[in-house]
Amino acid sequence: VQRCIDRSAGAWEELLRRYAELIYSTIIRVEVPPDDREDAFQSTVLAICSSLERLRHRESIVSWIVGIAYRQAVLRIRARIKERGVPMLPESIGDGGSPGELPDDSEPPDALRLQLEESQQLKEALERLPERCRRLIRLLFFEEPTPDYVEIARREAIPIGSIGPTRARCIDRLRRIAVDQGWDV
Amino acid sequence: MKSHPDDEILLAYCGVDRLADRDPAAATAIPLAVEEHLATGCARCRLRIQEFEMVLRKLRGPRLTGPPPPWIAATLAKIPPAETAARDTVAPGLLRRIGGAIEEIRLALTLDRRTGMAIAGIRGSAPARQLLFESQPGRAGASLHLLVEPAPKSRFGLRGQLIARFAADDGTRKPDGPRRAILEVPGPGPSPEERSCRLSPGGEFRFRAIPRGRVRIRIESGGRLFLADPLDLG
Repeated sequence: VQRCIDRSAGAWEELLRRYAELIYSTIIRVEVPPDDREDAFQSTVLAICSSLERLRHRESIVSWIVGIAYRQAVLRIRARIKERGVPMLPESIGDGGSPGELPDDSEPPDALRLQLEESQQLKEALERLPERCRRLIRLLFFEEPTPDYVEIARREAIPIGSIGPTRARCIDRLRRIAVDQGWDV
Repeated sequence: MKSHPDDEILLAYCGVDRLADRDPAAATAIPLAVEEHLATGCARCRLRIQEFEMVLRKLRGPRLTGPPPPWIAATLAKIPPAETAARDTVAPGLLRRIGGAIEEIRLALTLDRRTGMAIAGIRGSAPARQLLFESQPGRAGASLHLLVEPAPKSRFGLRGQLIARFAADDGTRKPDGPRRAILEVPGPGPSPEERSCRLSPGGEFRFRAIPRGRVRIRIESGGRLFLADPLDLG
């Protein structure tokens, strides 16, 4: 965070490497129209940039970023709604003079915030796994449709019989990281 | 079962995959064996199963999606340099009293796009650049809308509108004072030049033939000074 504030070389690249998915996923979950997502993404990053110095509890950066992305997403949706019917009047945004489709632009609902925080937690935990484990977990859990064992063995160049034990070792590593990070059981 | 079951067995018990499809006999035998082991009171395996179930639940839960990679580069290019941060000691949206009379409000860049939506009071013609500066990102308050349009001889035209609520901010109405926009533009020497124009009743203003380089807008209105982040043209 301090390196970003100081604009150290590579600091913002690193911040976006860590949190671009979190920002973009928040924007998608708020259902910003596809044409407005890039604006919402960009304005979120610029808002982070202009207010990072005031982030008091740096350990809560994930929740803080979700809040900023949520507000920027809601702002874009409100602007789009107004563009359709009423002239865009930014001074009414967030003060109760909105069109009414969105009830609150101040804080994301708890369930959404929690889900995004957990997803970020998982992303960070996966990054701590060895590359081989990451690849196997991606194949087994994230790829649609899930490839069968023959295909996994071919792509990973491992015997079919070792898939189960390797998977168990990788998930156990993830379990230990989760315990270490204090995930809720 | 005297020793603890392998993690592979515990994971099968947690339903790590559709074991019944691959090995129907194991799909029946494993739950029985694990439950028999748990019945001995093995707290270690009971906790391990809970932890595995938690990890599997997260692996199967919603995942984050990344933006298209070009967005990252485009966004990084718009992050203001450190000079901007060092110069602006006033946080966005924060009011600072100057000489007991004028208050300063910093407007931070929150949107920078090449084409798109019409903005209040401004009709743009492509190719144009639309920018939004706000006193507090994403919230009501003061906002400055700018439209930058290319002009002949590598110059630019700039139209803008300040939208701000005065009396509602702090319950006091400031003296109106001058209502003007001041634009710092690159000059022939080391120091920038200043140009100014009056604001329309709707807070609109316009500058023509602005040279390439870093510019900065400040607006005096309603007894306040609105100071926008610097902007690079060209």
